[in-house]
Amino acid sequence: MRFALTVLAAVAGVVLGAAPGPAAAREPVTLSASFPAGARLGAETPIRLRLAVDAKRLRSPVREVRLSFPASLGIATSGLGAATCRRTRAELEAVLIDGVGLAGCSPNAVMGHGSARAEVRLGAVPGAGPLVVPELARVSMLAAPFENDQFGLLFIANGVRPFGATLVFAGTIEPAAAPFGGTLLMRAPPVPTQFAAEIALTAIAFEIGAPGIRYRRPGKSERWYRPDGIVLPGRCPKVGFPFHARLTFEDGTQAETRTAAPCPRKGLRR
Amino acid sequence: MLGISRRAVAVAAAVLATLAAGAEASRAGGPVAEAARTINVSERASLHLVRKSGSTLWLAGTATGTLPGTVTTRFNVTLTSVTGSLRIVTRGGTLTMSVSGKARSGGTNARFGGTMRVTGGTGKFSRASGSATFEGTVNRRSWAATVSASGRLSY
Repeated sequence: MRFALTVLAAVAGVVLGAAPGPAAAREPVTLSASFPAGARLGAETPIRLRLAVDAKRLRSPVREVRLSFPASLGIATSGLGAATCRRTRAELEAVLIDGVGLAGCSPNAVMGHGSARAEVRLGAVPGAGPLVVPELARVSMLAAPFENDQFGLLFIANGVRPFGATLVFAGTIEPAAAPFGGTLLMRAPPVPTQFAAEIALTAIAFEIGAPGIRYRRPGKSERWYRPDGIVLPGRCPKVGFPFHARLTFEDGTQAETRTAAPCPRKGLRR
Repeated sequence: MLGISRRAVAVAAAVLATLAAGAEASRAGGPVAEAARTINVSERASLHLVRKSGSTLWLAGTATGTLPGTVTTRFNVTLTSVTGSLRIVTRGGTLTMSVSGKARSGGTNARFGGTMRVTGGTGKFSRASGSATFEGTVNRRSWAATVSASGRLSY
């Protein structure tokens, strides 16, 4: 990754152009939330979330994502996050870490999987347009130790192409006012590089309680189990399950959006 | 009538009748004012999962300590808070309490803690009041929980 950045920064450094302008204000971010087709009220289901940033209107990189989720979703009453993963402060400040996949974290800490898309902007010299390289990554959301009495989170992004680097971002779950049960906070600090390169998140999608999540049973044997998923309540809010996102960008601007996941069908009476 | 008016006789009869009724009620175990009693309470409860739906858990089990008995609970659990209610059926009556707390750690065996307050009761606890602090652990696979609480109770 660092070698690739070196090469691309050198190439981009010769291209001069205007610095990014201020952010536009019209619906710069979109959020979608849904349950899979087979989801039923009162039963376990994953939740699919997708947040997208219109990078043409908002040039400044995202530095913080706050995603509020409904109180009635049984995230805490699921079995997700049976272990926690701790990363050092130095790693969180460096963002770029060594390792692949979960980079040494326990698979029992995984709460969700997904993907992300980012723009790697190289050679952003005043008067020059940066060379923009789109990067795709797989993302895992993991439970981390409590931080200041708050549920900790980690987001590990494994670049797929073209760079293939592993990045780590810290987060927490904070209290939220009704009708929300909490706010998922993800911090995305600048990636320290010795070149004028920045990484701007343009989309992130993940599935909390994804069906493929497997945990290792305690003990020496390699036995795995599927953790209890998120349990939906027996009744649905009138407007669906509400979600709200607020993004803070490096230039201090904020953008917010909201959506509601449509109600799944009622489960079978037991 | 030796200078005693009919009105004075009526008043005296009413007073006597009231006193007689009070004595009868006392013999029959009827309502008698008693001084409130305040005690220190220390409890330990072992709970198991009855049902869960969305973010709500129903747990039940037994309590040992100052007020031994059976416990039923209903908790609304999010990643940031635990709220709900708890009912203890013990000798002489029942106690109903509200619960407010938060998780202290994650993982399979999660710790939580907070405060609870008496909101009602029956029998000798019909006028109960008081509060307690609690700490507990819950196994997030089986949802078996142990909770220790200590506080003061007036009834």
